[in-house]
Amino acid sequence: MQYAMIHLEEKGVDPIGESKSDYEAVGEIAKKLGLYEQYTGGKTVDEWIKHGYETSDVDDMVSWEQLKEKGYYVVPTRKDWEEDPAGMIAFYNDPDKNPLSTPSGKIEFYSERLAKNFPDDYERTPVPQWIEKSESHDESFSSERAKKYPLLIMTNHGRWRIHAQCDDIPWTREIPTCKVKGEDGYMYEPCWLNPKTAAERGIKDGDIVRVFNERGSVLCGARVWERLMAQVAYVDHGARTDWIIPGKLDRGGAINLISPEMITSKNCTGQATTGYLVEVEKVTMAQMKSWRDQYPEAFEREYNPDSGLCFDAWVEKGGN
Amino acid sequence: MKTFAIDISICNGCYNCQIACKDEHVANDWTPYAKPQPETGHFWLKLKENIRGTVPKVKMHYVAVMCMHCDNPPCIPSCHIKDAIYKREDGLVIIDPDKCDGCRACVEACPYDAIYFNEDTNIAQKCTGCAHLLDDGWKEPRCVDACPTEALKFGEESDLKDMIAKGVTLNPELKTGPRVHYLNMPKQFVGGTVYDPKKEEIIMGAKCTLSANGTKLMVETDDFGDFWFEELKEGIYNLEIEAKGFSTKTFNDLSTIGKSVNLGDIPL
Repeated sequence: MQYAMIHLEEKGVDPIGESKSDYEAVGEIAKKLGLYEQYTGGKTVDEWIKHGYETSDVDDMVSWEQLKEKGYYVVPTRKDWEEDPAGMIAFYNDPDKNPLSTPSGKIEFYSERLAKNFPDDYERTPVPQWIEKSESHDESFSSERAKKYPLLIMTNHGRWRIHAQCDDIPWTREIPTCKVKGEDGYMYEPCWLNPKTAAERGIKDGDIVRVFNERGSVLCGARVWERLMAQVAYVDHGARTDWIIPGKLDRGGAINLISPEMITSKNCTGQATTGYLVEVEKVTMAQMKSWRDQYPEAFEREYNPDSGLCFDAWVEKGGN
Repeated sequence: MKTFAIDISICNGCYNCQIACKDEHVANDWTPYAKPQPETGHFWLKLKENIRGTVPKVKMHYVAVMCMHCDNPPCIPSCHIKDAIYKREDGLVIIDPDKCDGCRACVEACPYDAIYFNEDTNIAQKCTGCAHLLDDGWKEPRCVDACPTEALKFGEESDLKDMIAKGVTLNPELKTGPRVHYLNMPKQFVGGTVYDPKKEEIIMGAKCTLSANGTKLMVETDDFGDFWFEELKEGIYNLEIEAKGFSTKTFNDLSTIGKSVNLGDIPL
């Protein structure tokens, strides 16, 4: 068991228009492919949820009826948990008798499978290594692009969110590493900058800034402090999108909008979104006004600084 | 008499205290102790982030600041209504939400900015030490209960006397007699990295002497060429760096008033 709590997720709103859940949407594709029975395994959605409970390892701690009534179950810490064996202790004690699932049964620093199956993949080599520049990626200080976009941005998993979830919690949004209140009252996603990097750009703590490269622009609020080295910028991923110009300029701070578009390598669908080149500049109130005048509808969405964009900002009708 | 004792060295800045306070007081009416706190904008307990030094010698610490429940509280004489702000027998200072008429004098009078004004209900509000819980049998307020590292402690002054003796209070010069005590409150530092510019190598074991008003502190650079003088009082210092085969380097009038000093990479 790898979790401390299970809960039954209730629907937030009734489906609007022709919208479908992810499960239903994939199911429609499965129907066209003639794979619907295989896809559902003959179970309804409710039966799948119950199946989740039955395979959750808590079915002997809480009954299905109790869980349904309460909606959640907090798993108590197991008695004598301190005596649990360490994760890979069997392999550690006797690697021959307890091999891993690798071809050699050992921890492999050199992947023979990658070497054999993808000998020409220079972006994902059998041994992980630094690649300054490649056919898919060109995001280092040595790049020609760094002349225009001289800062290396780091986009971490946010401390106050799970990706885009929980971006709307009023009590975390008041914390200085969660949001920055702009001069216009909007709660911007923080962009950390070292005082040197900020001073070179005339940026002060709390300023609205534009973080950009050729892929687009994202507005943030500057956090200028010594918690970051110079020549680097830092914005957490996962802030909720709030377009001013769709595809070009976002006010919500969704930094992944300007991350590299290519996957890790031609054979590997990993995301390469955590470090890339950008430039950061101060946004003046005159600039904000010109966007307001040009794209008034983008500024008319229902918004509450405490929680961000409201449901009605995106959904025109329907709901409960 | 109840007292808070907060160990800065084990606070990891999780903000549980600030959030737990809101969980207890937002939308909950604890009259006669307190009326509901507004959804946002009030910080009856505010965690303050402090950064010292410059890259790469940077240190951080967090200080939880709430009502100090002073023994000589400036808020009480500032109030023009009798007993609207009062001190309980256990030491906690309470603003009576029914008696407060919203004059805001106490908000101005508190030197710790611990009193907030509620525009909707027109009353001044602040930390009550969760007196409503204590009177109901709780041993400690919600912020202390929520602290995962036990950096926040609350209890009888006599039980916490060892911690209090080692601790400090905020702005003791104001003589308000705060009942919130802080342990291991960091002081300023002077640091740097010493290197040989010809070899482009750091210098280990360089003798660094920091002096002020006749007192001298000595350290040697470590295996990274770094030296650190920590826990310094605020003041003006002179620094001398000596290493065999190099001419001595001196820095005069280094100020640690309100800031720590990272001298960066220092060639000898």
